[in-house]
Amino acid sequence: MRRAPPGGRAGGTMAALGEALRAAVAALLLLGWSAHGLYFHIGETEKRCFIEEIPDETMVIGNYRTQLWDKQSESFLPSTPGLGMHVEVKDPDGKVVLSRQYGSEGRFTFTSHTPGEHQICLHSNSTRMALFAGGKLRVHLDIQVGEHTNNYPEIAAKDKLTELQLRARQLLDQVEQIQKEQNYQRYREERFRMTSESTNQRVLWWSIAQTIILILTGIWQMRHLKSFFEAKKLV
Amino acid sequence: MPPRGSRGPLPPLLVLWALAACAARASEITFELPDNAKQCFYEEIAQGTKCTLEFQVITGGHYDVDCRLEDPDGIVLYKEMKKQYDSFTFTASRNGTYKFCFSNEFSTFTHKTVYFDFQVGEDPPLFPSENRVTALTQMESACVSIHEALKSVIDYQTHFRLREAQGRSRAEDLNTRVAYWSIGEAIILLVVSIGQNTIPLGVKRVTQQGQKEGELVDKCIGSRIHIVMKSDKEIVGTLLGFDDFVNMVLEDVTEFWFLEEKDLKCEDMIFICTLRINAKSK
Repeated sequence: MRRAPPGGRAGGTMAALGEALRAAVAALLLLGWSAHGLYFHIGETEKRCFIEEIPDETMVIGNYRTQLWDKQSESFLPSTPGLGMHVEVKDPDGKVVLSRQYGSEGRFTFTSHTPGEHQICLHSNSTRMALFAGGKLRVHLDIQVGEHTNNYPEIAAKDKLTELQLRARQLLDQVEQIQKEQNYQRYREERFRMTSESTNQRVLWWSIAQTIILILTGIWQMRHLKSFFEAKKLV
Repeated sequence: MPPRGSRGPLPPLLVLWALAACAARASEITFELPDNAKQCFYEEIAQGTKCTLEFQVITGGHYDVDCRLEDPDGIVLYKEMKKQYDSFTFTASRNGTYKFCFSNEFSTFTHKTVYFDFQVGEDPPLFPSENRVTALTQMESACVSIHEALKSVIDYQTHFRLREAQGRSRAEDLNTRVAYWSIGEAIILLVVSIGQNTIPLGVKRVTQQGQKEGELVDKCIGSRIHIVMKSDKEIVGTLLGFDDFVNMVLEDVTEFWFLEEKDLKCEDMIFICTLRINAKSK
């Protein structure tokens, strides 16, 4: 990575400066480009939803970046001003927790108040572009949940923690997340048990009802046939 | 960043750190895959990075999905059809965009919910800025091992949560199926039994004529009747029963027929005066 300066002290400093600048720009670009690693393609008017099953009082941070397909250059434009993404988050009861429009690059945060499946939906705001069908969007997405949302260097700087204290803080956060998940697990198991018991009840009542219906139908059938045969003077 | 005199090595270090930070990612996403659909995800991976792809189908149909992982050259690294759960580890052999796709194209009308966890590289260290020249103290190494253990606990919890979600989804499916099946079968049972007992037996004759005749002859069951036939034969007997074609069953029958005049003898003649009622209907 280190290049020898072209020669002369003045030239060396300039070259070093240039090199530093280039490397800094490269680093920034790299940060900017690959900060959101995973990406996928969606249509311009398409809506894509993701599900996060989380316990209550858990923070979720989502980072996204959108790129528009340019037909002329046959590649994705690095940035498109004016292109926005609408983010909608629904809680397990279907109530909307977050519904906001962000720019082509954004970050959304929400904290869950009920445990369960939250739905995060993204779609672009390009209503006018719907006419030109076939547009493609590349969306870089990164969703972090719970303990992963904490930015430890920031916390260390803010609270002035030593390394050991920071590690202890990290462990505490992890244990808290585990605890919340276990609690949520208990609530889920209860729901499961209720569903199973409901099924059991239904099967039981249905068996009894079926037997009664069969017996009644049999009795009615025999009586009906008997009266029919008697009417026809065959008995 | 550690303070340095010259500006030379600083930006490369920054780049290295940026690369390291970016290289270490874990993306955990749960998404819904509609029927006959395929969904692909891409990630740029540097050479030599150890990556793990793990996926599980949570709800829908037979809980299976097709999965495919391709490297930048299009070579298929991993391909499985109709898998419920799998985990695949690989080391990136070259730089570029790796692509993995989940396909539900074999299913006609079930949506699937798929969870995947794509881990690229190792986790970033807590302190990316320092270079470790001294060994960790005992406290620190204890913290590190606790951290690793807790990470695996969280991992197990996630697996358990997914399996529980799958089980719960099956139980709820079963519950609704039992409800619909019970109602359906009750209706079918009633319809079939009523239909079986009324349709073949109870269809009334259309003709009024037949009805009238039937009714009249019906009244004579049990009493003595006198039948006059076209061939000039007469039959007297007790009517026991008859059918739709007026075939009759008689008891204690006396049969009468006419003889030629020349064959008549006085002893053979019996004068009978009866009032004959012809119930001839139009």
